[in-house]
Amino acid sequence: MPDLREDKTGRDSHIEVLVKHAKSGNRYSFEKLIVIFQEDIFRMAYYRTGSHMDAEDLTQDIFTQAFRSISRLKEVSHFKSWLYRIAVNRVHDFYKKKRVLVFLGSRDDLADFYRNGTEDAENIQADDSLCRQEFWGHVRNLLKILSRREREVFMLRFFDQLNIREISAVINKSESSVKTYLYRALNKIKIDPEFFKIFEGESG
Amino acid sequence: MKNIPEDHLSHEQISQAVVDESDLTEGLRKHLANCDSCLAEKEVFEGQLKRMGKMAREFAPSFSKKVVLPVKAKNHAHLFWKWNWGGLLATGLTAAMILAVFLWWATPYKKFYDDIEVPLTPYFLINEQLVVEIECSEEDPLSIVYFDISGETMTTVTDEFLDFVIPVFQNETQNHDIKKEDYHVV
Repeated sequence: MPDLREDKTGRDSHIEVLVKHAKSGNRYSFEKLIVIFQEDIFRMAYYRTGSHMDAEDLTQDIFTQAFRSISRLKEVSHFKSWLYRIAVNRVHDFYKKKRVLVFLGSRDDLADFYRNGTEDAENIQADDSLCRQEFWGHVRNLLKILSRREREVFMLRFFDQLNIREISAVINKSESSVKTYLYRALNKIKIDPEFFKIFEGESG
Repeated sequence: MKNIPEDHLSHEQISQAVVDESDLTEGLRKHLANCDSCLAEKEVFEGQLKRMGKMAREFAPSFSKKVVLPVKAKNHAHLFWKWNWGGLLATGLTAAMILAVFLWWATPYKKFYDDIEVPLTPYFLINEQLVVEIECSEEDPLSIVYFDISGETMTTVTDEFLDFVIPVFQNETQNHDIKKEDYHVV
């Protein structure tokens, strides 16, 4: 698959200008950045928690932390990777806290959500549609065979639409390591064509 | 008709092509470019992954809350980083260097002083003894050995004895002058 690296578009330049202003303490510019990225970050948190409320709380935490530490961001062009890095760390923190609370010490950070699959009714909100629940159940079943790192890289690539370079910045690994994780994940995953037939037309 | 080299690509090689086609060997790349079957397999797999990502976005709820930023971004961690640690470090290093130079300068001097003081002490003592002997000789020119031979003591040395030991040349000169006067008279 060709890398999703895009040439510097007008949108990217606009984001860079906003980041520059936000870095120098401009609150209004940071609020504009929130508007641009809040949906992506919320979805990223939702994919990993499966809970609407938890994802919303995490989104709030992620932007609060980003706002507090944006003055330390070195490269304005790396804002997206930097924001996703904060997001990934916050999700891990969320699972650590949760693990302590429910005494599930033997499992890794993201494993609980994916291993429990469709039976983890606590993570599914009551207002979610049945189809949505079913879809995420299938996705969990598909991804639970992957290791934590493989799953993380897979989701960042195909769900969050980050390119190899951005993923490498997010998880702090070399590009070749990211490719290796992705390659291993794709080798394990076998997507049944029926999977799409069930859900197509139901989405949206 | 296309000339397709060797066998078709395996699932692992298709996966590798999906991740990054440039990582495949030259031969496999050529095969993939010319083999409709392998190319189709790769495109189907890519398409499935893209569709899954698209559906994930569609099956995710929308963000309904508003992100509220803290009123004041400053906290202790922020102040910690704002502190001029670089300047403080530079000052500390300069002070350490000055101290090191001072110690380097002071220590050898002290060592040198200690080194020369210890060997010179016996020489000072010998010199001091010599000075005492010279002072004694100035006061009593005759050696103690002389008094031992003569049986006299230092207190018994009289002016008469000294005149005997040291002849008085002045008297002879006077005598000579008297003789001269006598000659004139004559």
